[in-house]
Amino acid sequence: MINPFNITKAVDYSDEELNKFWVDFPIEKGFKGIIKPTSEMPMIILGSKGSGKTHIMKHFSFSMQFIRWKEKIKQGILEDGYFGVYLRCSGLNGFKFSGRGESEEIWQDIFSYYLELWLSQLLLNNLIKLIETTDVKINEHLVTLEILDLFDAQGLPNNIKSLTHLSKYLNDLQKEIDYSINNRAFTNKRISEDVKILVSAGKLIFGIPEVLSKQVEMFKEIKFLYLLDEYENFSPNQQKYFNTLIRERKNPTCFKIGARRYGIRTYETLSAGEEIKIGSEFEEFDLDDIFREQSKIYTEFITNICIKRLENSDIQISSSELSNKFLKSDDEAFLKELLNKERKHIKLLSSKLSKIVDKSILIRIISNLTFKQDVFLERINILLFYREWNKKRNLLEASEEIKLSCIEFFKHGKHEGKHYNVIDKHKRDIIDTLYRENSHKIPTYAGFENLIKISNGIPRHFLITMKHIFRWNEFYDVNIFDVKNDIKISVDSQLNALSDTTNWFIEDSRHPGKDGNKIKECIFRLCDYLRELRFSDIPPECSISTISIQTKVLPKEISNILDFLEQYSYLIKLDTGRRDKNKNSRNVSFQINGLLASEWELSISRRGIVDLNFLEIKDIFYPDSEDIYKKFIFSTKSKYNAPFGFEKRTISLFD
Amino acid sequence: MGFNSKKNMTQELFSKFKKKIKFLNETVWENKANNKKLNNWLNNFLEDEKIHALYLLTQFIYIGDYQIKKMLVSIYRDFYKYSQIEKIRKSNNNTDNIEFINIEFDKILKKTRFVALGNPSESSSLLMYSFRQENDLSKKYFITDNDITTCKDDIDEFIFIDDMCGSGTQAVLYSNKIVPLIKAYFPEANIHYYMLAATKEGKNYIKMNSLFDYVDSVMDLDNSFKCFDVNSRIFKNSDSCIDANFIESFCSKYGKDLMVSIAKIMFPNKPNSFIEDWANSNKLGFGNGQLLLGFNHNTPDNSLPILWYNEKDVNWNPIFIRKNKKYND
Repeated sequence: MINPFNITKAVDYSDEELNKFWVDFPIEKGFKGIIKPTSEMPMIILGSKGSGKTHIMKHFSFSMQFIRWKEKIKQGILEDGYFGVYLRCSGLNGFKFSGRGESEEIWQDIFSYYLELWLSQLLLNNLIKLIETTDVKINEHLVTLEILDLFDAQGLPNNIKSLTHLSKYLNDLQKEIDYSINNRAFTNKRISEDVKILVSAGKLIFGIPEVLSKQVEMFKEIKFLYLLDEYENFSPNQQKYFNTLIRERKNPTCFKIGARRYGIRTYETLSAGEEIKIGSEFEEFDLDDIFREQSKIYTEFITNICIKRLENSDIQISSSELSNKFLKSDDEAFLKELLNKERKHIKLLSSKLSKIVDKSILIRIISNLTFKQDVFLERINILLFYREWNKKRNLLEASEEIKLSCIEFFKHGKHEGKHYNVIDKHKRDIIDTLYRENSHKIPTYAGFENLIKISNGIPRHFLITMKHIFRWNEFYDVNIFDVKNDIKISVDSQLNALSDTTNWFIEDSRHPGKDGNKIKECIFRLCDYLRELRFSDIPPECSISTISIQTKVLPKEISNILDFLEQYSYLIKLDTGRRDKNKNSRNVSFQINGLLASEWELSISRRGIVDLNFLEIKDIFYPDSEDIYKKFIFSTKSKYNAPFGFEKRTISLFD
Repeated sequence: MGFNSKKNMTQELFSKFKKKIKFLNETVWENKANNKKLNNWLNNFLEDEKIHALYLLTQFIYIGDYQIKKMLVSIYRDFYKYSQIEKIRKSNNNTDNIEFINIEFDKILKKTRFVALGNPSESSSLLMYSFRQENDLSKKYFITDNDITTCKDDIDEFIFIDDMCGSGTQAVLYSNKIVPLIKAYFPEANIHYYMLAATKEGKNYIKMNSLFDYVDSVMDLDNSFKCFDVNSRIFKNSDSCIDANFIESFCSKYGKDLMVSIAKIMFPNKPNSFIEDWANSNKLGFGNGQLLLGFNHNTPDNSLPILWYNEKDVNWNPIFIRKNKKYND
């Protein structure tokens, strides 16, 4: 069977396939309500790599409108209220408009002219297709003449009498620019001497829609929607030019710009470097934020994507059936299994205690903390004991108190007391620790909803996990969607798939060159540090995977690293930072990406937040040497693990 | 480190190797070793041998359908066609007249026969089919070795193609049989013997001892491809807990048992002492090949027997099965 999740990038799909795999966001009006294709206000759509920008933007293009409406395309456009013109900015090879002995200004003029020609051709070609396939009546000669009239130059060829001729003419002009740029090195002729700019910036981009609106009945109320995808491929100067078009937008033209989160290099325009203003001149929204903030709707969205993919592979499944396919960790069975096994936590504690207490005390302490009936409560005893140890309490007394509290909780299960408090906050941590101490992979990450949670609002992360789940099951020779057998997706294959997806993510989001490695090391160090905390004897917080940083005090080097980690979704910036207890200033909180969290055995829930002070941040993100980081980790371990950095001493029965 | 650090490390390593094998399986091995097959194969070994066996498997060189096709293109183009073109140009004042060269080459091709070794069910015939397809050659240029004596055409070149050469003894024996026959009917003909892969030793042995005029292989296997050679590449970057000597000892132990069973098939009338000696010499593959190599269509018997053994006498689950049970001595 062909893996239904093999393709995870919209650019790898044909328009037909994109339409077949389209899943709308399950809110009123769907993505249309978010994108607002007929809104006059330009919009910048941000999103991480894999957030689905291309799929969404292409959905509003004419080619997709054509597939959706088929022979009813004319009525379709009237109903949609817009005519989409989609451009992938990477196809423009924006980098070629620089250097070669030409000034920045000249390149800007050439680029804007080139873009003008390109976008106009795309619009005209869509229009030609519409005319060819419908009964739309256009006086092509008149429209062509009016468009030619938009040119500044006189004496244009007089044989251009149709839209096809016009499109061909624009294409020839564009080719001349390509030829001139490509042969600059060989001809030794400056591009500025070769290329004549025949039309002012924006004249065609705004003018053609105006002509069509005026001359063609069906376009009277229609918006012409330019969809520029992968805007990050434009250089700052090129963006400056387009930002100016955004500022000077004229009806009936609309702009929707798609870019990665770090893709907007400038908000400046060519008007004396003034910036375009969010709210008044354009609106901006971040797909990641929408997906992350509306987790229930996002879960439904991902479920629908999954069902659609399977449907297209002839597998019919409901959302509840789908969710049930994914096995989750069976903690009860695991705890039961531990009842008859050697208690690793007791063994480790004994070993640590033996260095500071007499054997007779050790035996009594261990006897107090041992709770044969319930390994989970016994492990809580150990945690509570370590806490008391850290407070320098009398260990024997402490163990006796813990014993009583444990029996009390076991008998009455009251919603109060030491044991209840630990369960309330640290239940998952305790269970995960038990898995880890007993050499088990932590299975907490398995389960359909967990896998969605781990994707952190990036659909491609989920799809790639599904792709690997399929591959693992193929390797295991299991057909997980065999309708005749109710086969479940094992925890093991889910964990393996997560690990494969994490490896892919780390490679895929790597910044090229040395800097990329440095940044990778930073996030690895942070994850290592948090794992040390989470599985220490006295974890400072519950469900560790979130950090809080006072970003104002950070040097540029570190804030650049943090920006990068955030923009590439290694770290997920949380909406609400929290106030620093001492300094009354607001901190910024970041959660570790779910994939990294699963690889580093961190929590995927967001509860406890680890505050990092400046020195800790420096040691993790910008240590002067690897040794300094190692020392930092060593001191962290000493601080959070028995004997908590205390001097070696032996306590006897009579102390 | 926790209490189970060694156990943890082994578990981690096991999972790492399994991931690698799963990846190889879906990318290179054409899905020939799924988890079930892998586990069955691992069950041949004792518990402490399994991690080492798994490591060995991660080093297996699989030559798939695509690679074989490209190798067959290389044999035709690099060994045969280019050398003929070189001759044409040399004898025609280094001409670069492409039309003339093509006409002359066509004349040579018409006087060439590509010969499949052995009977049509064997791998050489399979290779010849792909060879013809990939190089877009007419069927009329292909014959079996049985057809040579009845061939009425005026032939100048006979091309033999084989998949693998280990020690080279088989090829030499074959040449002693077939070449005099060809020469009797076609005294002026050149006889070529080309292989997809050959050990350096084997290839040299053929060159020195056979009657073929031209011998070559696309892939040369030097001693670094031998598992337990001092220069073996198999253990160059292995994890610290992987022990080459230990692997050699269990591969030898099982290999010996497996090869005893094969010796009994090959030499039914020989005494036990002979069987024992022979099995000892070949326990790591025929001619002490020690290879970790297999093709899409078959696994050569010079590879470790623990990979391919597929007889009924010993209860053994192979991972890369040897289909053609004709053994080369």
